[in-house]
Amino acid sequence: MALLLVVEDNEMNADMLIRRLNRKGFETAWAINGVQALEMLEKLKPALILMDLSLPEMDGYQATRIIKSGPLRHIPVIALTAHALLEDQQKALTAGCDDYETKPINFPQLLGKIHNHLGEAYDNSE
Amino acid sequence: MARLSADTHPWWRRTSLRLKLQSSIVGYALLVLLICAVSLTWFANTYFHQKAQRDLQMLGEVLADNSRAAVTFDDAGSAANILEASKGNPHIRMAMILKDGKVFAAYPPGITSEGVDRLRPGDGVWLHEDHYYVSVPIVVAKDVKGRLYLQSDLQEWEEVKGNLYKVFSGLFAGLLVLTGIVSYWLNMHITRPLSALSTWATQVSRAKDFNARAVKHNDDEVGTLVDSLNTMLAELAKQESIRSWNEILETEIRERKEVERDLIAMRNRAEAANQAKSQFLANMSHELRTPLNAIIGYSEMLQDVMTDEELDRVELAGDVDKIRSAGKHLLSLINDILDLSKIEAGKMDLSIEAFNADELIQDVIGTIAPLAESRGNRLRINVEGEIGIIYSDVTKIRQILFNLLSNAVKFTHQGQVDLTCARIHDVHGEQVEFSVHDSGIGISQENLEVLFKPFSQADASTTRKYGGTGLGLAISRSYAKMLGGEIVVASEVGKGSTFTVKFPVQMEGIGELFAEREATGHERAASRELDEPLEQTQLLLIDDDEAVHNILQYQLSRHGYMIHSAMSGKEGLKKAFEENFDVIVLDILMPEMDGWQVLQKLKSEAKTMSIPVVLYTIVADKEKGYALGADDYLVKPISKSKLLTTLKNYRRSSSNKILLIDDDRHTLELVDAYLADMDYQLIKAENGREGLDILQVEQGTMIILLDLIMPVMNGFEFIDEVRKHPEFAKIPIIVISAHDLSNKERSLLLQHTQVIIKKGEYSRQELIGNIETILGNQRDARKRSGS
Repeated sequence: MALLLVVEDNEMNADMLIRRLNRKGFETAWAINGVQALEMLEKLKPALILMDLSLPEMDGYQATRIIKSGPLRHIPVIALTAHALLEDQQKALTAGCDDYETKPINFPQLLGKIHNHLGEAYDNSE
Repeated sequence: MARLSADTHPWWRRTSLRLKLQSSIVGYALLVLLICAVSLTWFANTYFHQKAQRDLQMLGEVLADNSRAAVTFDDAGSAANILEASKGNPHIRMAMILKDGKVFAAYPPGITSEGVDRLRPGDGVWLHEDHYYVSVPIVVAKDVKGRLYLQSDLQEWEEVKGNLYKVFSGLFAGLLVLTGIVSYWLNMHITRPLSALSTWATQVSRAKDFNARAVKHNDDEVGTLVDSLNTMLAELAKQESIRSWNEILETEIRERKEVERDLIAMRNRAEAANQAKSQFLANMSHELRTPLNAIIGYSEMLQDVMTDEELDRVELAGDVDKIRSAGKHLLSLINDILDLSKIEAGKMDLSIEAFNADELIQDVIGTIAPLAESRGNRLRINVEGEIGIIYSDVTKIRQILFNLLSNAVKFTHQGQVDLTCARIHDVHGEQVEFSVHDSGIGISQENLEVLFKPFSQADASTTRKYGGTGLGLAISRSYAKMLGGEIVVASEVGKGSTFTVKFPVQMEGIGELFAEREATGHERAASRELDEPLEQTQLLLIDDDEAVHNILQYQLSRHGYMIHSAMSGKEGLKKAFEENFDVIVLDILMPEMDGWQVLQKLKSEAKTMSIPVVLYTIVADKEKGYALGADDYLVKPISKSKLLTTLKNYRRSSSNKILLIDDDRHTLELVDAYLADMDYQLIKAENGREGLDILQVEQGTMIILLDLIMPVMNGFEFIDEVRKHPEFAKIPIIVISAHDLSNKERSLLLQHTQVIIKKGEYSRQELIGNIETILGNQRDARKRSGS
């Protein structure tokens, strides 16, 4: 099944999310910050990116902006953040994120969003 | 004034009152006396002379009658005796009878007829040399036998006259004495008090002692004058004291103003602290969410693992469920706190729109029904008629209804929950009313009072038993108020509760608000003219459909594009070779020469090769398009924003510099992000002073985004400074501030700025829309002044 790139600096949250995604049958890769995410993106070309926004070295906003202005801009990016204000959501969408999920994650909802975007991506490639 | 004119006044005005009074009294008395004396003398004179004449005539006739016999018989002796009888009257000086021109008899005896010749021959009385004379004929048998003459002196009159003079002299003397007395009295009672008063008044005015009072001796006009003077003085004293009070007050006002300044400074600090508090809460929310994410996530996962793999650890799973539910509760608590803090800070926005209330009710019921069922409650909906369209904030109303219904369901077990909805008309106008009635545990009187206060669930154990944060009703009531309505509750312990929420069908002032926003944005911006022309992007549109030309003209001309139209492929190519364009927008399906051909031709000629071409068509063959060298591919129909975003990449790089002056890092980041993909160069300054310095260096700044509260130089001061530089004064300013503006501040700002945006309450669209509107208007203005 599809490969998802999880970009998350909090180890516990990353572990939890990855294990839950694996249980749902997704393959996963983990990047700890924006820089690593960009490197792995080139190599792995994942089907979708789950992007935490507050990250060390290069934050999620910047990483997303770079992804969205590069050749792999078609890969959907879902922002994951503990910032719960509408403003934050807009900020993420402005940076180019395709979707937004507030922590704590409502897992079924996140799964729905992932399927939505993957579905779209497949439709586009067909 | 009075002093000056004193010398110019006639003498009678200058004479003292006393002299005037005295002379007028004396004059008057003398006049009366004179009139009396003259008239009395005249009267006495006339009376005396008439009487003297009459008496003399009578005496003459008596004597003449008596002497008739003597004359007849020539008896001179008896005639003389008869004449002698007149000696009884001392004033008769002479009596004489003439007969035949000779003296017949005379008294006093011996007097001759000398001089008698001169006597008048006729009858009657006459006056001659202070003597009265009378001549009476002595008639006997109708013959005049002789004539009697009498002479009387005026001695008696002289005596009367002398007496009269004595009387008048006496009267005159008496009058003089009386006048003296009267004038002395007048002097004592009028003149002297008046002059004393005048001297006193002069002293008072010199000494400016308005507390002195004149002494009143009499109750007459002078007394009244004293009273009025005293009243006047009292008035003056009052004014004097008012003046001194004014001074005291002015000092006080100065002091108060200083206090006010201090208070404003304190308030600003408090506001900053409040902002810090809100920020803290937002941070807290973030910090709490991160571990919660793990707690909830792990718990859910563990639950899955345990049941999926059929490990006999159901009990463990139950405990884990507690972790999860605790986490969830913590989350709803945080959400509610966040909402409340927003409401308190006045930052909770309303998003007013038209929505169908009946659909909303169905939606809410759909969510609440499973909950009601799980508690064994029957849910009954009673909608009176159709509620229809409501203009309000649908999210807030949904939250209120959900809160009331979930409370009702929670506090009722195996009972009845009714939702009643109606459109009503009362004194507040057209309203919509939702009423939630339950047959649950009810609320006691004392708990009713604190029901709507935050964190005041009826009983601390309630939270554990029924869940919830205790903030729902507080939030609901705040929302209801924001929407112009209210929530009321009626309840009886053990029998159930009824919560009724009511709010206007159409929120007040909504229409005006929108209209105002439009008007201020447009008029302000339109009133400006710009000197420098803006760089326009030259766009060649090649399309055979005239409608497309019209639409693009309408959509793009306000955003800095100059549209050049070509109605066919051939015309387009011709224009592309002749003129220089920044971008070409090309249709595919055209008669004669289609878009593919045009594209190939454009990309094969050196002159046109480098001009970006955007395909804009209903043909969805992107691969072919890109293969032939198209730079972008847009499939009709397309939204204006997508069109603008795409074309932005090919815009002539303009000098659209935007200066952002704000000390808040978050705002800087946010605006940066908002404008990231727009064709603007964002220059940042952290305060007004820095902003001014940048303006000097960065020529051609198009718009200033300005915060108000900043260190070093705040927004108000910055605006003042900018007004002093004519070259900067024309740069439009958009105020972005979290500062709550007073009406005065607002109107002041609107005189010099275009738009005021509240920090944290604007969207990307709003910001960009405002900027584009202002820039668009500048272009219009430039166009107008150019044509």
